[in-house]
Amino acid sequence: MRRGAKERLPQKGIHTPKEGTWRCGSRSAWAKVKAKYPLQIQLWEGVDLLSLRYGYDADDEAGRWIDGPDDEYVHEEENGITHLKRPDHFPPIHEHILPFRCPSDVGLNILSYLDGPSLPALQLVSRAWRDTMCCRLAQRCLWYPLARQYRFTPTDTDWTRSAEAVRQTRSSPARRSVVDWRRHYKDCWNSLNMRNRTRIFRAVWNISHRLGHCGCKEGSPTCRP
Amino acid sequence: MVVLITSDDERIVVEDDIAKRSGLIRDLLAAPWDPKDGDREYMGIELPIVSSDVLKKILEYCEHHKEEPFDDTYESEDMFADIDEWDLNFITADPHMAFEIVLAANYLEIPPLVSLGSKAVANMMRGKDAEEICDMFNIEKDFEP
Repeated sequence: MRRGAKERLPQKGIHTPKEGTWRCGSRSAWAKVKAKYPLQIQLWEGVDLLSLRYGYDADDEAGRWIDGPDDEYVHEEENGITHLKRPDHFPPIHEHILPFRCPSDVGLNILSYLDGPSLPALQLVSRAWRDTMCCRLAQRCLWYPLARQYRFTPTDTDWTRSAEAVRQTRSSPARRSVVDWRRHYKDCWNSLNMRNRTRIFRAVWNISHRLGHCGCKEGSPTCRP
Repeated sequence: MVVLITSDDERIVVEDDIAKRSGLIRDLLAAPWDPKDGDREYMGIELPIVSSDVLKKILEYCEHHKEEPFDDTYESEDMFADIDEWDLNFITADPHMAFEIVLAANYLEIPPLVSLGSKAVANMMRGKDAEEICDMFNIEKDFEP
């Protein structure tokens, strides 16, 4: 038994086989394959398909296949290199979905109704959700509207150079499509200047709400100062 | 009259005006029909991902709004706009069904109901931290910042 295999196998709680014996795969499964396909396909003279090692063959005394982590079949380590992995073991596929099972556009539509403090918290729910909230679609449907909601985008009355830079980026379709609006929102949220801007806009909105200019009714879930 | 067949094989008979609030059903009814294929009303329209409970709620919404003009836009600009009082009571009556209604309304192509349900679901999620969201949607938390 090679050094690497000795170290790895007891850790995984797998019974260590005698050296030189095949122990992985199913003998009966391979026997069924042989029975189903009795004709041996000649690859070249003297070598047929069934004589090649697949990792299933339990009769080959010269083989050194061992069980690896997660049911992968790896070759014993030799000269410090673990080589010859079985080439048909695919990793599991992870779906790029929101935690609740629904189409991405519906999920993002739901998230678009959330406010600023709620969204960053949702990024911590799971990797899948974090990936979804960082995707291009989320940039356009989620973070850009959120930046607008918090007045983190300039209006016509903003005449500073920084406002003009943001305005030019928004007006250019090519540049607008590559803007990281999530980062822009985060940067603005961390800027005292921008937060003060939001505070002023909210104060104005409150006055408008009290005067009845916003059209909201008390108790509506979307009515918020 | 239109016969709608739900995922639990219940046949629900609906007036045309109410059923046509759904873009999906409206398109299906507008499609040419060969009489050789059988009686259209008898055959019905199968809705394999909509249960009878959810469909009845959606039809209740459609019946209430059957006089209004069609709205085919999934608006996002007026997220602060007011919600009609009847709509508010309708969607908040059973919060757990709101998400099912959103999915079914999206399938049936009823944009105003999708927006209404989305607002209700978002309202359920608002202000909650990651742990509470995981509990709400039964998610295994696999991410630590």
